[in-house]
Amino acid sequence: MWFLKPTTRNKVEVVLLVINFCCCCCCCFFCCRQARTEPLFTAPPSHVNASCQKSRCILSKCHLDSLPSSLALLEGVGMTLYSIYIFNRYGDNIFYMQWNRTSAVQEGEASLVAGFIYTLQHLSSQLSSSGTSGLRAVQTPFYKLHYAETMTGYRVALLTCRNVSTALVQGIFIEMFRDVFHKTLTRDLNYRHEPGCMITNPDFAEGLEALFRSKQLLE
Amino acid sequence: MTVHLLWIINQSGQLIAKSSFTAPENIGELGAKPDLQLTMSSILFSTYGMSQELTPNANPVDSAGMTLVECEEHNIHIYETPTLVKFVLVSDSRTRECNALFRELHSLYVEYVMKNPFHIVDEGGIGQPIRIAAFTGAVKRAVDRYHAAGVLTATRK
Repeated sequence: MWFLKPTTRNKVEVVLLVINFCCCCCCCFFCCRQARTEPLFTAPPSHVNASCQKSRCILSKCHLDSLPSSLALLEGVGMTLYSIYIFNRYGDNIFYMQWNRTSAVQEGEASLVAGFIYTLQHLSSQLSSSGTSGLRAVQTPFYKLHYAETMTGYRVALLTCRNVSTALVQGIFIEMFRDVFHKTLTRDLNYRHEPGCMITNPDFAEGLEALFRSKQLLE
Repeated sequence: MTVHLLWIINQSGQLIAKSSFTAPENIGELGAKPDLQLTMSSILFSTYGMSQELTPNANPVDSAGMTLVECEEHNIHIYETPTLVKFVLVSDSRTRECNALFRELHSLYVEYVMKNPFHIVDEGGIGQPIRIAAFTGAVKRAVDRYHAAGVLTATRK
């Protein structure tokens, strides 16, 4: 029974879940690329996917009374940063930093974030009349994910609490790419913009934290 | 305060109802190719699960998926019922929240779909599309009232 499963998941199950999500997305994109009419009666998702999602959702409803207190805590703290991911044009996670995060980083989480933002960006580009990707933020009751992308293919995903304004973070992203990224990476002769090259320049991390502090996102 | 599109996705991730309320060109490729909506609704179902996985700083038992996706031209609002049916509304980017409309649509879903003895909800994991003319008409009237209320609000401002 799904509700008897333990809430903590081992690594193998998480990896299977990630692979399952990736396969599901790849399958959908394959159908999209072939331009076939997908039948209305499709097979249901696999047991792992359905049972995990159902169990989490229903348990969440059981804990509905705790939601206001959680949200009150988030509201009382003010603006909180959780983590930031930067991906290059090849999809590699070249930078990660976390601040006020208490939950453990799951294995393969960077790939999950990359797939998540890529999928939503694809969906938003298909909705827009101009055809360009216009994804800016994704809001949930617990966090908010801000997204920006440069014309050269660098993508940044910033996880914050839900109080942070989308316009504020979009402005911070512009300043980040124009000042911090440009000064510490574009002008860095040792950094090559190739697949698999991580950002190891400590000046970038320091400049990023200084920028967030100047915007009162960090104290 | 304009709502372009409504999707209802059942607990298995299938699109069981879709209604357009504005011209097809307002939603880009999804308007030009209606069959694409079947694929994109499944993709949205998957990303909803992903957003639950990415929750930082929360009790792992408490997981809630995304409620709002902000894009440049549109906002995608998602409402999940306790029975895991998801209502998805695609609106313009100025619409901040649609909670009242979601509750009204949920009431219409209960009245016209759940109480219909001939509607099969989920047979062997395969959902049935909602082909109830009264439900479709009621949904359109609810969204028209929502648009009218929005116009009044805009006029008052």
